[in-house]
Amino acid sequence: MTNALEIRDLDTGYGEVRVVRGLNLACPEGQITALLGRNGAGKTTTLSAVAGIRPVSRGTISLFGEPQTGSAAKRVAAGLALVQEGKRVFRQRTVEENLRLGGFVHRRRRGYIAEGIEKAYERFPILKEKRRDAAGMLSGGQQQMLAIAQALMADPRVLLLDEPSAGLAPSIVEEVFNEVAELKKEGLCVLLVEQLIDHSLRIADRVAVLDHGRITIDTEVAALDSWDALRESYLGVKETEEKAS
Amino acid sequence: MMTTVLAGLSLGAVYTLVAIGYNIVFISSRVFNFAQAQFLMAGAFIGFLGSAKLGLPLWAAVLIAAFVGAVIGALEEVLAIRRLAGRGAHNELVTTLGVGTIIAGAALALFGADPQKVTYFDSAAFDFLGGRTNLVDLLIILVAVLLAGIVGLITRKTMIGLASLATSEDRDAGMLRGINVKHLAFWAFVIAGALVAATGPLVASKTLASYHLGDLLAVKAFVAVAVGGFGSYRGAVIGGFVVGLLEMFGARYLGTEWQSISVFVLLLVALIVLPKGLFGRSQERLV
Amino acid sequence: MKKLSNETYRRGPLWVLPLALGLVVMVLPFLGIDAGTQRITVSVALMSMLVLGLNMTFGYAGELALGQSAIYAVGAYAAGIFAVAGLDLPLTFVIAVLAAAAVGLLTGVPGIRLGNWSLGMVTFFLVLLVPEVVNLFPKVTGGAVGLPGVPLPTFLGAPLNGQAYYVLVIGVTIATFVLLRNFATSRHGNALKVLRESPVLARSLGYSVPGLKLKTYVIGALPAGAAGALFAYQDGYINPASFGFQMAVALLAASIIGGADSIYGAVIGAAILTIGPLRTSGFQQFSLIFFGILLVLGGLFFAGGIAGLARRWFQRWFVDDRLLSDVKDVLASEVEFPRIHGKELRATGVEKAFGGNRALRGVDLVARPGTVTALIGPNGSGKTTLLNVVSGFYKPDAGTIAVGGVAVEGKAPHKVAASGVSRTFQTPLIPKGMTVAEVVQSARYARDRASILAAMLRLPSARRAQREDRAEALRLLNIVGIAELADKPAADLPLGTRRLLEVTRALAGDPAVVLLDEPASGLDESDVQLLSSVISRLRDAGATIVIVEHNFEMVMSIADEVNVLHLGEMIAVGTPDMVRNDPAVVESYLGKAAREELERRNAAQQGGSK
Repeated sequence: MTNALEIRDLDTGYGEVRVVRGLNLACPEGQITALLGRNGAGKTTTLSAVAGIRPVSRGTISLFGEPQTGSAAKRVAAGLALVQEGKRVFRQRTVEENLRLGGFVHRRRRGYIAEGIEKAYERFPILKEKRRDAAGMLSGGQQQMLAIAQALMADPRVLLLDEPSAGLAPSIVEEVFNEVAELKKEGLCVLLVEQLIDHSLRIADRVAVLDHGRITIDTEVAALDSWDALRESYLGVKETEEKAS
Repeated sequence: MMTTVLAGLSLGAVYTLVAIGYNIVFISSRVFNFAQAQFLMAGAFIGFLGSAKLGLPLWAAVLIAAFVGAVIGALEEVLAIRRLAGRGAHNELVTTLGVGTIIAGAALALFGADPQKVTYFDSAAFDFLGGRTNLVDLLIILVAVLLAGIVGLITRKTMIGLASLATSEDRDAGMLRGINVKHLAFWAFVIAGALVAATGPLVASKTLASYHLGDLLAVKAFVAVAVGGFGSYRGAVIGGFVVGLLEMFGARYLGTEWQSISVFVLLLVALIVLPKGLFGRSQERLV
Repeated sequence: MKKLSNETYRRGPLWVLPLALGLVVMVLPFLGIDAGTQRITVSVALMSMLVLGLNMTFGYAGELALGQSAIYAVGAYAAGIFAVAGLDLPLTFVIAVLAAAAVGLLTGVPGIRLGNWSLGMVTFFLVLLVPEVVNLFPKVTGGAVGLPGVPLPTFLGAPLNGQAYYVLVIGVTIATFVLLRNFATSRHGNALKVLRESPVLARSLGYSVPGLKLKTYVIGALPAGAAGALFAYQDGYINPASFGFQMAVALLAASIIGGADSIYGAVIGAAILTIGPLRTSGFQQFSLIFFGILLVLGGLFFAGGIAGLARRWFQRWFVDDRLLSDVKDVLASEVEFPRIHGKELRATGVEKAFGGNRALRGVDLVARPGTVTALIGPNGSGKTTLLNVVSGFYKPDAGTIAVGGVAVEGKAPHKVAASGVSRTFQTPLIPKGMTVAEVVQSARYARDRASILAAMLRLPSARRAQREDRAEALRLLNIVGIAELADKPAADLPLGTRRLLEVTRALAGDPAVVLLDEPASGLDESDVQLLSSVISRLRDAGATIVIVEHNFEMVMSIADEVNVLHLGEMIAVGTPDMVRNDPAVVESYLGKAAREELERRNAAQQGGSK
């Protein structure tokens, strides 16, 4: 089966800071892959490169076997959508305008946007309530939901989520993650980048860890037996592990 | 006094027309096009050609001017702006100034230094609302307000307009939603060029066509956006009127030598006191 | 071919060439050139003074202050009016220069508050206003018709003829270039390059940015005023149409063609833009098109202009890479760690909110001399905010920050820097056009004030300050291990070296507290090790170092104390080992479940060992 998203030998960074080197990752259709790693490991850089807003010095990114080399806008048309970290919606535009903009690539299809907006309101009723409000006036959690809804407007087959839980209160995080889990049922392939292990492992099918620009762990969540490896990756290798206390 | 008001509104409307051009380009590409006023000057000369040399009706001159403006706008974006790709405000100022200078230079080379009359309207004065004015002046005011209204409406209501507003707020996010940012910038230059040039034949009926028409116009239209706010069409109208009224009242009550100086003072005040302008949605890249 | 060694090229005065050329030009009339050529030369000289002033503000300091031709007009009218009134040349000259300085200062004041676009437009507007201002006082200025009757220049009563006037103009031009060249190569010129690169960097080094900007505008205005004064006498008549849009555009084009950030480039640009047009018959018609094209090409392609090209060509063909003698000396001498007099940094109860977002909620941090204090925490925890509050870029809503017992909270960044707090940034801020040594030296600018006049005249005090700057810079570079790069352009170095350079710069001037913002970001292992060893040695020399880092291995190896920030609160403080085993820390990085697992395991181990 072709993977929905396949990243091979990716080298990227910013300026001449090589953040990601030789990264390989495959994300199957209809599954959630969690990409974990501490700060500075290169998670956001990787997603930016996959989405096309960061140049790639080496490597290929394929969507259902089709290599993606065009601009970000072309990749959106091909079915890839990125929800950036920091709830980056268009703050000065209303909720409804944000949703319409999400459907920009399909704007010429009759009735597409109207339908998409209805679906978004069904999924996230609070957005319907606030639809004439400027996006900047929404709370953090609402903005996050708007950002996801906006990305879904383009009817993507692969969804990249960058730290959707950042800065949100725990109960809102629950809500957001429940929604993300639902997306799997619709056949979406989701690449979920997170720092916190908890929530992501709850809903993910696969987990990969990014450390110093390379993947060090890449397995099914069910097969993950202990979190030591993860902890080492985040907080450094223990020198005296066997110190019997 | 009403005469002065009408004169001020009419002069201000000219600034508004250029300011509309500034806004279209600024919203879609975050570039301030110093050359915009020269497009009006180019249109003015086409109006001169049409009226005095080729005997074309007004609508033909307007269309040709729009076409020429569109072409120059396209050339400007492709040759002078695109390659810059965010090398900083310095370079943009220099290249847009360069383009504006080339346009003025072309006008000088082709038509000489003497101002030329554009004879589409006669300058018969009549009474209107208690003041003396003429048809051209009123038309300019009308066109400016209408154009600002229409462009503003299109920007707010259509997908393309929405896309340009969104992109000016956050370029990366725009790209990620599938908006082709490069196209937006290109068409913005083309449309702004066409629109502003198209008003040239009309405006020149009031101001005469002259190769240095664009110099002070560029700066005073900048004051209009500084007052009204970058990116706001409503602001372009209000700002333009404010500048025009100030100039005319200054000329009448202080003397013509004080005309531009009073606008200069307004600029300083506006920049320091109202950094966002009256209706500005985004701050000009100040730092 | 025997090349000049770097040493010869640097020590041997390169400026001898232009000076010699200038002197030759000065005596040309006596060698028999005709009046027409003299006139052209005068025009080139005057224009080159204008372009030089523009290069100072635009090229060196990066300020879009384009009002040179307006100031030229001020100088010309000032001198002209007083000459008509009967004053002598030296006096009218001085008056003109002072008037120019005043106008430059006044019109520059908005530039402090305004960004580049606005400053550019304001100064451009000024240029266009000249005719109107002239018309305000037609009795004095002659109005639009021009000011007639400017007598021949008289020097101490004796009138100067054409040749004497020529010699005077060339002489003044040479003097102006000498003074400004000295200024540009002094620590002041360095400071302008820092300003051009980033006002934030300038503030973090202790510069008062408004003061620096104002000085720049005045320095840029002086040559324009001087040129204006001389111009007034050229024809005995001042035509207000000479100063306008066309001249302003020509100046900008000349600056770019010659090289906006060069001194001698001003002459090249001025020459091209004065002589070029004149040689082409029927040029008048096409002058604007020509200037416009130059501007577009210049804006697109010309990095450094002709002077830049000449410099590179000269370096490639005539200069080899041997080290200068003082660098060799320093490399040969023992690496001597200076005693760094670090002070205690104590932040208490710091609060900072942005709108509804409370980034820092009552944070305490203590960093002592001779220790490395690390500040870590997950994304969005507030680390950089805390650093920005400590260095003065943000004002805290509550809390105190004391350096060596002296409160600094709420002070402007350059004042905090002056109190001894130096910092690096996540992306290295290394100005273009500076050598490695000059980058380090730029940190000392705010600490030792030396007067501009002394720099222009190369008085002993200025030369001494420069020597000391360089000696200290070389010493520090040697400690860090990159002394052999001292005279290389800094901006092109690899990332790891630039990070080391930033650390070195942070050390210059004996800092009380050093704040390092993610210095290891983007570095590979060997660079990280090098950086770590440098930081450790600085710690040993007595520095107070606070480091924000994500690279936990690095933190573990060099930190004496680790402070963990999470969602604006300090959740743990201790040694690296203590901290990484702290359940709260594990939860903040990895989540609740990971914490629970750790606690379960700790409990089991404790149970098992009983």
